[in-house]
Parts: sequence; structure tokens; C-alpha cells
Amino acid sequence: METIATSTKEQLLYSLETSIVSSIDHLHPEISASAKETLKALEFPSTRQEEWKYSRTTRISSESWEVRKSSATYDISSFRIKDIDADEIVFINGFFCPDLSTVRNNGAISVLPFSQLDGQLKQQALNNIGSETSRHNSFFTALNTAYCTDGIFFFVQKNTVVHRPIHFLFLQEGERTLAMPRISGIVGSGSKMHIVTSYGSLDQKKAWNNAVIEITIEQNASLTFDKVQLEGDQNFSIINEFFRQHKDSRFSISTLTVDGGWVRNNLNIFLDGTHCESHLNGFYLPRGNQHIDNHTLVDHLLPHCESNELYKGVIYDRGKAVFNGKVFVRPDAQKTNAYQNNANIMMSDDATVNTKPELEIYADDVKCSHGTTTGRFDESALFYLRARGLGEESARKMLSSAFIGEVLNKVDNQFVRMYVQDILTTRGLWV
Amino acid sequence: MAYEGDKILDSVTQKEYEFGFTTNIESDKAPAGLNEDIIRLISEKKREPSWMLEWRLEAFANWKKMTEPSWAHVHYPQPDFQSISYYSAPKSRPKLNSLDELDPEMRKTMNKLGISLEEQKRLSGVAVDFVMDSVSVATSFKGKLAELGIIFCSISEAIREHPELVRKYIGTVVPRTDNFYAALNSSVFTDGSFCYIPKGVRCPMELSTYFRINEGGTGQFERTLLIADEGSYVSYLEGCTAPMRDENQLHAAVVELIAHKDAEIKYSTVQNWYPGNDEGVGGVFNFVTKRGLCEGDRSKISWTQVETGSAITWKYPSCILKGDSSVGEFYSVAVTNKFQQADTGTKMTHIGKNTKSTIISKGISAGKSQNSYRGLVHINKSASHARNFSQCDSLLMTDTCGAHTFPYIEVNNKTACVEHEATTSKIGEDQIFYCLQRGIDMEKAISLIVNGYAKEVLNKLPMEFAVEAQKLLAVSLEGSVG
Repeated sequence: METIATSTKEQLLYSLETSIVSSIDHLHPEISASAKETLKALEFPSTRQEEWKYSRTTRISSESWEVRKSSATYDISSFRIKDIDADEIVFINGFFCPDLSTVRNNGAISVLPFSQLDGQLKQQALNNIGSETSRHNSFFTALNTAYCTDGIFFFVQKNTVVHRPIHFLFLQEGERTLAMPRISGIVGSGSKMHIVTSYGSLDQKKAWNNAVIEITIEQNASLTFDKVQLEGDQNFSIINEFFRQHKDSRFSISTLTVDGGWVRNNLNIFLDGTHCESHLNGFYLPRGNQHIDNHTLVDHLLPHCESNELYKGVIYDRGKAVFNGKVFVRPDAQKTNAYQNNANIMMSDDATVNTKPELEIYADDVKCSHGTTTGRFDESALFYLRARGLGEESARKMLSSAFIGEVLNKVDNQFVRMYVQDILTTRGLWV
Repeated sequence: MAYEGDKILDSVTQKEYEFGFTTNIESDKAPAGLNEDIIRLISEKKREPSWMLEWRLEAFANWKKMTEPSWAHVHYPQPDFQSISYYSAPKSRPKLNSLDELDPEMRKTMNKLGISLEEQKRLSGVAVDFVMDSVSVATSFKGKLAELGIIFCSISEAIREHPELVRKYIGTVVPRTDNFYAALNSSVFTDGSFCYIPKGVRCPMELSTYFRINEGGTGQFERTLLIADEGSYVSYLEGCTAPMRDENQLHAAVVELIAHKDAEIKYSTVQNWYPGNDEGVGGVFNFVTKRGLCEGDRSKISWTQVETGSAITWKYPSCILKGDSSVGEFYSVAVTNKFQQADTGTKMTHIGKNTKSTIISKGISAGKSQNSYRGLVHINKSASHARNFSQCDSLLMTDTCGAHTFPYIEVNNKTACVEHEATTSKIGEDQIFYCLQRGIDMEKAISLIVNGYAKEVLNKLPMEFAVEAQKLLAVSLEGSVG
């Protein structure tokens, strides 16, 4: 067993080593070299590791993957969010596509691919990429650092309100392609911005996306982050996100997993300043044989911070949902207020839910709580609607819409909300 | 108030372990080390039948292939399994007709523990199976229980006298391959209790056993097997104290409960092993595998525990709810102080239909201790209309301790309803203020608040134990607010 695991890891690393040079090398070759060293020491994640207990990676490791730039032209309009008036940055197969993107650099905000960075921006990017926030956190993060296909760095000057949202689109096409895009950014102190990321498949073929997103939120800054996952049944998606918050900053993230064959979201938030505020919301709707895994970490490093987490799931067919929410309260983080809630509804006899809300607390003057529920539909609510003439199916739909609506309504931007609602409606999941 | 609190905290943390004394009784002790010969020696000393020896040797063969578990949230130096003596028995094994024949030294020990047998007999009607250093010395009320057909004796005796029962049930709930410590226990267990309640019998008294680690460097490997046949009821108490020791003592017990159709088992524990001194040196390592099987329909197993001792605790009393409509309960208060580390909780495995489980866990951490709840609720695909409710609260006393919650919830049936909630907070300053204002001093105020906090669990204990448990909470905690 052991030898097979190492050999798959070695095969993967060998094929990547011979086919790609990390785009981070342009900034400093040391970063990827040290990640490669880390990879040598790490095992390919398997269910024997606590972190991967409920998510089988063998389906990834049993395939051979290839990094390949797309040559075909595709219509990506269905992935554009209507009326939002956002700057769009498009990645296909992990490579930045300048032709499809609209990037408006001005004095207040700079958005550049890693390969075009120099001078002061390059220095800032170097401080942020693979910094303590995201360094060698896990096998897949290190894999991205070592063999990053393409990356974008953005920098928001201090005291700037960025009116246009930035929309990052991560799309994939072609059989067995592996994409390893990376977004690295700094939201300057006192600034405010809105980022949307969306993930999709252009041809519904088997693909693997291993993305890293690392963002520093400076003092008193505010970041709203929406994440829309629309990859099809065939996709493997591992999204490693790292957010470091400084004093008085505010951060809110919505993870909306509409679709995805095999999804693992590693969301890490470090509250590295006093009086920070974090909101994490998410819903997941696994159908068919889909497997959706959300691992979140909220690390309270300093006092007087607040975090609030709400994840909801409706599990259909043979779908499998995994939730692992970890709240860390470090010894210094007195007066922490942390709340976590996870609710699941099972729609089918073959559905599975594995949930593990964890609290690790090393300070005493804190208020921390978590709750989780798993069950089926409230039959009395269903009866209420049916007694008023609704068909069973539409009554169920209405109730599940209301259930995940609590999460969707927390999305600030109405265009994002409408976009997701429309997709849910066409898939028969929303009324 | 902080100053006052510190003072009391100091006085409490410096309080020496009350029951820390050693009894000077000569022991018949096996050489240190673990190998097949030692197991043969144990089996021979116990005059066991050959199937038992084979069973032990198979367990040992399994154990050799296993590695120590490392997933628990505890840190400790690994015990050297070859430096432990696996067998020790008081040299003159008294065959007693009355308690007067008991070794006077041992009588003294019992009196210090406050469990003088005749008094127990006379006043509370509790039958005590007293375990001193791995060998049962005195068993009371045997005659009375025998009339009802209840078998209550040491496991070694049961192996000799009732081999058909032991052979049928031992290792069925905790297999020899279950985990590292269960395998170790299976190969070297020296004593423990055995209890069988026949069909339709309601055990008229609380059965109890006292454990005590005595000889320095002797690991205690207890094995308890409790069977409640159809329609029977039994309430079993287990209590522990240990003498003060500087080296770490290993305790790896296995407890197996089997409840048949309509039977009910109530298993209560008050655990007060030596927790180590103020620097965190010494103390007992408590690695226990406790598991109950609700075999029959409508059976019920209820675990209640008050944990105040041990340097390291690693303990998950579990229920396998196999019978339809069976019920599993877990009520726990775990207190850690000084450098104690506890990783404790439960596992509820729902297999049968309409099964129900309740988990109430109250953790209290003080000093520099770490207290973790780790629980699993597993709803099998076959367990339709299963119901679980879990509540895990943690109370923090100082800013140097830690409280952690690791609940695992696995649901494979849509008709299941699983709820879990957990809170962590500091002892309420306003509550303390309220008490102080009304002339209740700091120590009493904290004792009051903690007892109120743990009341839900303490209420589940049998009367005799509830008093002892409250005393223990007071000793372990009073005034230890930071």
C-alpha cells in the first residue's frame, strides 16, 4: 500500500518537473525550490490522515494528469456575471488569458501577472507569496507553489475604495488537464474591495484544479469575497485559500458550491490583529455522486476578534458532504467571540454527511460555541405547504430554497446573488 | 478579586493528593518485561484453562503488530512496556469467611479510603468487590446475590467457575484487535470483575468495585465483563484512588457490557487516580477501552462518569446500539487541573432502528491542563429514525488551560436526526460577584457554581456516589479561578 502511494506521488512530481517551470520562479526561484523540498517530505494525502479521513484522494492519484495550455476558442459568456460591471480576469487551464480579460490598472490598484512584476510591486508580491500565511501548509498548497501554472498579483493602495469588483474566472477544458493557478494580493490599509471568483468547466471533461489564493487584508481594510463553484461532475477541485487579517479589518466570504464532482475547499483565516471581524458563509448541494468537502480554519491569534460561521447543505442522491470547521483560540486571544453553525438536510437514503466542528481553545475569557444538525425535511412544514395546494415537489423545492436562502441572502452584491439564483433555478434547485 | 483568586488557586493547587499513601504489604511480583513467558506465568498463577491462555497469546501476537495511537490531543513520554511488571499479588492470599480475618494493613487502607466493608454492608447495602493490586481479596454480599442467581465475582474466578459464560462473551464487544491498549490488556489482564444478571432479575443493590494501584511500577490491567440477560437491570459503580508515585503508572483497563433484550445497565464511574504533582511529574496514565453493546431490542446502556484524576486520560465509553429501539446515554464531568491532560468522550454507533442516544459532557479545565472532548456519533444506513442529541460544554478557570472539542458526526440515513451543540466560556464573574455580595466566600461560590454547572450529570449518579463526586469536585477545583 505504502509503496503504491509513494510511487503515485513520485510519478506526479516527475511529470510536473519535466513539463512545467513554476511561474513564481520569475520572482524568486528559491520559493518553488523550497516547496519542492517540502513535497519530498510530505505524503500524498490519503484517508489515513486525519485531515483527509472522509475524502478519498485515490481517484486523483490514480489518473495521469497533464498541464496543457488551451488552444481552442470557447464562448465563456455563460460564466460572466450579468450587469455586474466587474474587471474580469480569465484563467483557462490555469493559464492567464489576457485576450479574454479586462484589466484596468490605475494609480490606486495594480493587477499584474507574476511575469510582468518588477520594482516595488515585485518586492511586495515576494513578501506575500508563500509568506507565513500559506507556506507549506499542506501537500496541495506546496504542489501549487512548486509548479504554479500562472499567477496574478494585485495590490490596492491604502485608503482606496475599489468600486469595480474584480471577477476571477477559473475555467478548464480538455481531458485530464491539471491547472494550478494562484492569486496573491494585498488590500491596503483603510481600503475596501469586492472580489468574485468562479470555477467552471468548459466541456465537462475530467479535469483537476489545484488553486491557491492568498490575500493579506491590512489594517482597517475591508474585503468581501464571493466564490461560485460550478464545475461539473467530472471535475476535481482543490481550492486552498489563505486570508490574513490585520488590526480592525473586516472580511466576509461566501462559498457557494452549486456543482462539483469532487470538491475540497481549504479555507484558512488568520485573525492577526485586534478587533478583526470575519464572516464565513457557505452552502453546498451535492447531487448524483458528487463529493463536497469544506474544511475551514479560523485562527484567533489576538484579542477582541469576532468570527461567525454558517454552512448549510442539502444532500441529494448519492451525494456526500463533509464539513470540518476548526476554530483555534490562541493563548493571547482573550475576549474572543467565535460562533459556528453547520446544518444539513438529507434528501435521499443514499446520502452521507460527515461533519466535525472543532474548537481548540487556549484562552479563558472567550465566548465560543458551535452547533450542528443533520436531519431530513421538517414534515410538518411540508404538510403545511401541501395542505395549501402545493405539489410535493414544489413544496420541497420551496423549503430547500428557504433553507439555503439564508446563506445566499448574505451575499451583498445583488448581481452575484441573481446570477447564482438563476443557475439554481435552471437546475431545478430554486423557486 | 484576581488577587484573592490567585491566593486560593495557589492553596488549592498546592493541596497534596489526599489519598496518596502506600500500603506495605509484601507482593508476589513478576519480573518486569512482556513476553510469552510472562503471559504463561500470569495464566498459570491464575490457574486458567488452556483456551484462556491461547486467547491471551493470540492477543499478544496481535499487539506486537500494533503501534501506539497518537491521534489523541495529549502529550506524554511513551511508556516503556518492557519495564513494567505485569503481575503482582498480595503474597498471603486470604480465603476469607469474615472480614475479621483480613490483613490488618489492608483493613487500614480500606478505612483510609472510607470504604470499610462492614460499614458498607451494614449501612448502604452495597456489595463491594475490592480489588487491591490486581487480585480480588474480599467479596461481600455474594450469598445474597447468589440467591437471585446473580454472579458477581472476580474475572479470574469467573474464568474458572463459569467458563462457558466468559468464553461466550469475552472479547465480543472489545475485540482483541480493537486497539493497542485493548490488545495489551487482553494479553496480560490480571483481574477485574465479572457480573452476570439472569433473565428478568432486577439487581437489588448497587454493585461496586474499588480499584487501587499499589505496588510501584506495576501496571494494572483490569478486565470487567458485565452481562445483563433479557429483562434484567443492574447498576454498577466503579471508583478509583491511587497512591502518590513519581514514576508514571500505566492503567489500561477494558470494560465490556452486554445488554440483552429489554435489559438495562447503568455504569457509573468516579475516577480519581493520582494526577501528578505541581510540576506535572508522575501521575497515572489512564488508557481505557470501555464499550457497551445493546444487543437486544429495547435495551439500554447508560454511562455516567466523574473524572478528576490521572495525568493522562484517554477514555471513550461507547455504546453500540444494535437492537431496535435501544438507548445509549453518556453523562460525563471531566475536571483537569495542574498539568493534567484529558482526551475523553464517547462513541455512539447506531445500527438498529429507532435507536436513541444522548451525550452530555461537561469539561472543566484549570491550572495548566488540557481538556478535550472527542466524540463520534455514527448513524448507520440501517438505523432509520435514529435520534441523537449531544451537548458539550467547557468551563475555563485560568488563562493557561485549554478546552477543546472534537465531535465527529457521520450520518448515513436520511431519517436520522442528529443535533450537536457546544459552548466554551469562562466561569461567570457576575455569578461569583453575586455570591460574594451575599456573603458566600470565594471557595464556596466556585464550588456552588461548578456543582450547578455539573448538576445535570451528578444527578445521574447513584446517591452514594453523588456525595463522593461532589467532594471530589470540591477538592479538585474549589477557588481555582484565575
